[in-house]
Amino acid sequence: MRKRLLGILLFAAFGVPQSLPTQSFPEDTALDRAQIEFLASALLGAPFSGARKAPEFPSELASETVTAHATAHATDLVAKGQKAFHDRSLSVQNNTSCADCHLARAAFSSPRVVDGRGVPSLYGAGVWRFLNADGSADSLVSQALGPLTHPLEMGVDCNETDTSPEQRGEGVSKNERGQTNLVTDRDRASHGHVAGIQTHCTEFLQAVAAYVNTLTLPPPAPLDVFAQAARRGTLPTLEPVLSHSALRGLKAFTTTAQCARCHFGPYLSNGEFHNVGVPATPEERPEKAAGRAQGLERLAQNPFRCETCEEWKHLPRGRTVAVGAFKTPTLRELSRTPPYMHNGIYQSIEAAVEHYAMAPEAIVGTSEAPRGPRGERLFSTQTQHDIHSFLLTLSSVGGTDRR
Amino acid sequence: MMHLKTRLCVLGMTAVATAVTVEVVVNVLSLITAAPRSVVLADKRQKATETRPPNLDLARERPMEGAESLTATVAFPRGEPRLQRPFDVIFCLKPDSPESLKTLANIDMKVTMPEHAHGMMVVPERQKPRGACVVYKGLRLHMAGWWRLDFRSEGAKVSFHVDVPAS
Repeated sequence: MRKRLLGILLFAAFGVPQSLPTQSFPEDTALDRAQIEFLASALLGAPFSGARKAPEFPSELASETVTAHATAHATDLVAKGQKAFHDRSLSVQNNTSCADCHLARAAFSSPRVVDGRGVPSLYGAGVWRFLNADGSADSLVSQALGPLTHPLEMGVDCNETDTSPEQRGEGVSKNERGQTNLVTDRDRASHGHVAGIQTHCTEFLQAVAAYVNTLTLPPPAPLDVFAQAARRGTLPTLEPVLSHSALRGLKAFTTTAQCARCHFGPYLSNGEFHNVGVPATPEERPEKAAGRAQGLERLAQNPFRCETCEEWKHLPRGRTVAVGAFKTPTLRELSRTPPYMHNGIYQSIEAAVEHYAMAPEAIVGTSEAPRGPRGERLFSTQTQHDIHSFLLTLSSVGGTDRR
Repeated sequence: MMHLKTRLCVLGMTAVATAVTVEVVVNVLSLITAAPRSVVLADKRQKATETRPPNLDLARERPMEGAESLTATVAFPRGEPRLQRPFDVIFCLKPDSPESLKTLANIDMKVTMPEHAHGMMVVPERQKPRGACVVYKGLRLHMAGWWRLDFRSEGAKVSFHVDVPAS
């Protein structure tokens, strides 16, 4: 009897697992106000507080009262850009175009990792204040210069050699301090020449940027159907589009897991920079782990950056807050855009979610990822599974899923 | 022969000692095998976070701690801070006195999100004090939630809270 009692006590102390998988569906599927607001913000086309303020082209050009010539120019520029986006002959070895990495079937991302960096989806690229994982570009034009000239990508030499703008009779708009007034993408598009860059490169960048700017909205996903119904109050009559696991995952996404602090808005990204302790890959060069800190220095060297923008005055150059911080990626079409994180270190969504459950310390800088009490898991494995189910609802139906 | 209670007590103490030993060994092994690659090493340790007070005091006028004769105020000329929107802060001390001017001349502002132990992703511009006020331009709160503006000058300090809504 004593031995049996002892056995029961030992089992009670050490034999009960930390979490038990639920076998029942939640009875209460009501969403609270915060979750309704989250869903409303996540709708495709919803206004986004982190969007860039400078007008984008060609949509901006098309929406203003401008001459027919300007509108035709914008339309023509997009067509040229789409052609250039797929043109391999522009690359130094005639074997690489933008489309070779930004695959339409993969939401314009790629399973490749280039020079230690994953290839981000281009959906909504035109809305961001800064582009690239390290924020080393402040416009579509300035961003495209990198892939065009990188030796591992298109490898084009865009540097000017002999002729000066004055010799070619072309002008570059500069302010009193000699800074280029490339405030908006429209400015960048209207300039025939930028000092130090060959004209044909500038023309390529302008055209490609015009095309990429049209890639605004990915196809609607199951979450969009659910979010619309939530906004209209017609959820009770809606045919199930989210599994109960996905619904639990939505709740966890906006509460215990705290994902929605950074992943909100129509692209499920705030477009900001955070250090969340992502480990380095073996291929990743050490200096690239510095993230935003390195990106700001690269941006300073970009001839297409906006020198006169108000934002430039307040960028955290040389500040530790930028060390190890990378841009929050979009979660749209997530199942089609592996690998995950800025360096593609995680091949699956489950691994990426596990990262946040464990919240490892940063390799550089300080991670701001929330941790569970006493350094334990922030959420259970069941919740991890539910969040995974929810994240799958962010991808449109059809096409090739690569999870 | 040992009594049952004594046996349970010994067993419990042994279990606790074993658990502690295992945890220490696991932590040491994880530190060794993690092999962190320091490049630009600022502070690898997780910074201490704070728990949001149950009733966040959003008062815009407070006495300075360490200089009780002075009262600090903050104002937001472009409106209360909103998520991801640039804003400015006007920090003033009253009464307008030699003490307030001296305190203001050395005032330093730090803006953090205490629950996450991180600051802003911008560097505000501090303008020269005008009278008993100093203006900070170009602040930007990039996450929703509780932010704290800490002002310090030598031995005096004061904090103001901002609660940024999600949208």
